[in-house]
Amino acid sequence: MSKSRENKGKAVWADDMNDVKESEYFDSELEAILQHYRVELPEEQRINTTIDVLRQYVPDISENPREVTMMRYWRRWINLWKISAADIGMFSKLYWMSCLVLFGVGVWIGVTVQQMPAIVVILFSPLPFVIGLLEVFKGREQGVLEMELACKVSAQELMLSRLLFIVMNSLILNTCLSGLLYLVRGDISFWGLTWTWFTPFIIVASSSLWLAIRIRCTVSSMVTISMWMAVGMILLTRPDMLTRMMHLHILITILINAGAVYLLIRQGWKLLRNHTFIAEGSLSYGANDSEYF
Amino acid sequence: MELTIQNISKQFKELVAVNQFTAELSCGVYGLLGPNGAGKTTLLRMLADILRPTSGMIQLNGQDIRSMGERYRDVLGYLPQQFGYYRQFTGRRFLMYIAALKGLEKRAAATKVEEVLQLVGLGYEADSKIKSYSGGMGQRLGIAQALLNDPKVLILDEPTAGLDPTERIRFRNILSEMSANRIILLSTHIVSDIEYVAKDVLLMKQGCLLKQDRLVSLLKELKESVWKVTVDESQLPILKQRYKIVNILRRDSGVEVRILSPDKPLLTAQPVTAGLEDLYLHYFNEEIMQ
Amino acid sequence: MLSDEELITEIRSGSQAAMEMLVKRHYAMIYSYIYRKIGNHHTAYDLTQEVFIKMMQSLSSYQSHGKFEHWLLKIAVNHCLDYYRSKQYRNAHIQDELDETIPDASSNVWDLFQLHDQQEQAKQAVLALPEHQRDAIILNYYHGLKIREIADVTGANESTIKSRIRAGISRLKKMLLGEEESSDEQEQRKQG
Repeated sequence: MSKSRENKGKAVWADDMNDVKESEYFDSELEAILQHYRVELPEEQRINTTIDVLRQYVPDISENPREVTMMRYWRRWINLWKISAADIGMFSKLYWMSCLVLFGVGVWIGVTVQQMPAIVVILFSPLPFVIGLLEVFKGREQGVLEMELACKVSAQELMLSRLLFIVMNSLILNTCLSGLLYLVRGDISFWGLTWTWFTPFIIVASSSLWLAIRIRCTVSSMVTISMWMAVGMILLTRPDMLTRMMHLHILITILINAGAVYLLIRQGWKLLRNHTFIAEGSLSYGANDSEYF
Repeated sequence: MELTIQNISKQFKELVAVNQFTAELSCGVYGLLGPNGAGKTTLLRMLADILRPTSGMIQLNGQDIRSMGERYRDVLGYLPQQFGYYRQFTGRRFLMYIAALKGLEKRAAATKVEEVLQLVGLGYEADSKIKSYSGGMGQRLGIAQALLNDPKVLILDEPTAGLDPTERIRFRNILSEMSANRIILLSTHIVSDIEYVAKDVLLMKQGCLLKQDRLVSLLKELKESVWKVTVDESQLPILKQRYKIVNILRRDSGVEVRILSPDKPLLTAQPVTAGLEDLYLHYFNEEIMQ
Repeated sequence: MLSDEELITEIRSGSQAAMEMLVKRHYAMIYSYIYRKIGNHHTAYDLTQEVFIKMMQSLSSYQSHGKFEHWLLKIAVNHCLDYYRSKQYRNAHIQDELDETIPDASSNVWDLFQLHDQQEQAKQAVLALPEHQRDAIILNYYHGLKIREIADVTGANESTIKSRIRAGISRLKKMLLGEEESSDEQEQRKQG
């Protein structure tokens, strides 16, 4: 600050010291000596040390729960979408290909097979999601999780953002499939079709997520897909069961849907909060650590 | 920078992996030594805030790292003992991915990634797919990712596993350069990793901290206890039975045996300066693995 | 560039980065004030750290009346006062406790003109000033603060500040320039 000497010497005094004699000023001779009292600042390292000590005095946002909670959730939500957008490029080709293939097959069967277009949509609706789960948990699977966990953007936020994307993507794909079938075939209603696939989708989605959190994802995905195929087989061979299911009382359907959505959200939340759980669970599988067993 | 570990314990069901571990670390390199199953990895995971301790607290500059949350991860660099990669990625892409996770902005990330690649010597292979990397290259990539956010606390779990001697020396030099205003803790079996760079050595056994001291001081304890003697092949079994053998070298003149013993084992034995391998055997009753 | 007040708002919402910026922005000012006041690097470093800690602790009650820099300087001035009054300091400096009585310029600082190192000259001269005069001189000369501002920072009234500065300058002149005159006179006398 000794650099800013614009207002040194007489200029300052002129304002403030009208009654001061000339000899009482900082004259140039005195100044010439005084300016030699220079200051050598400490090294940047030492200044950084001081800054480090000061870090604990920076208030922690969580100390003000009421004020900031709403903002925090909103910010977190936006943040998740941001991460999602950035992360899309990281999704493996396998996922995108599977989506395309499934879509293509779905359209083809839906268009060519005469009866029961609904069944096509029902069978295919959860599949993109289940395959997507592989993407969500790939960090855990491929052993990158431990590295990701030590990063600022926590791995669980990452997983959650991928999950959000998968859900969105599945919903879009299924809606497009329904839309296409509706346009091509004249005999079905769009909303009816949508409603039809939504229920199995949400049920399978929430239960497969539940399963994937608890056991190894590749395993759980396979289990889910095989079980779903089995269900599909049963329904195909027993169309009367299908008709009965489809005409369940609307209230029951709503209840089932709501329950499944709730489960999905809860699992998502768990993914976000309980990171040690994920870490411990997957670390037991991911790393062959003789220290555990 | 001060990392204070206060009475940390970790229990998995009936197994106590870490038992009331207490230590204080400041800037410099620290070596964590111990046999397999000593709890080193568990301890390091807790220091990286990946695992929650069952009891005790870890503080950075007086603040609980748990409550610091992402602020701690902001200054943390961690290399796990075992890890994988997204094998379809190139080395550079993987580092950019991790850089994004560490909160680096795209432009800053690109510069930092290049810097770090050069540092670990992966400049040429950066744009090849990771699945084509050798073990050593993969390990170096792991070290690289830990350095991306210029961490003030660097936790490395067996960082030199799979590196050849030249790479290990290079790694040691990198650490040495960086240690001025960072806390670096690495667990290792390899003598040369810490012999010349470590400030203190922490000896860990069965989840407990045996000792924390400067290497020089620890070695002083063994001053009159390490001997070298050349014997005949036939005498070897007896020696093995009676004394702790640090290592055996077969030479033309016979078998040169390095023995750990408080008293002179044989008349012809010569005292030698104690080294880390002797220390290891002394405390852990097993040979250090090279 | 963010203003000090904007940085403070950020810090209050938990931004570490803003704290870093604020500290780095004003570190030199505080450190140089304290160093010139105390004359010792180690002590100045520690006291500077303490001043910033005090700053962080009072940030929640900071209201933007006037410049932030002056508020911060006020903390520094008071902290140095506390330091001088502290037991710690007294114990370490029993011999040379500063008092307001005017020491004999020629006897106390007789070796000043012998110091060829101009840095040392200036330093010892300033350090030889009584505490309040030193404050006023440092703030006015080295930091460019006006009388009104110094009064605000030190909590004294303007006329007191004026007289302190006057006295300080007078003493400095005696120590640094007055002695030269007498040695000149001596030279002249020698040459007859």
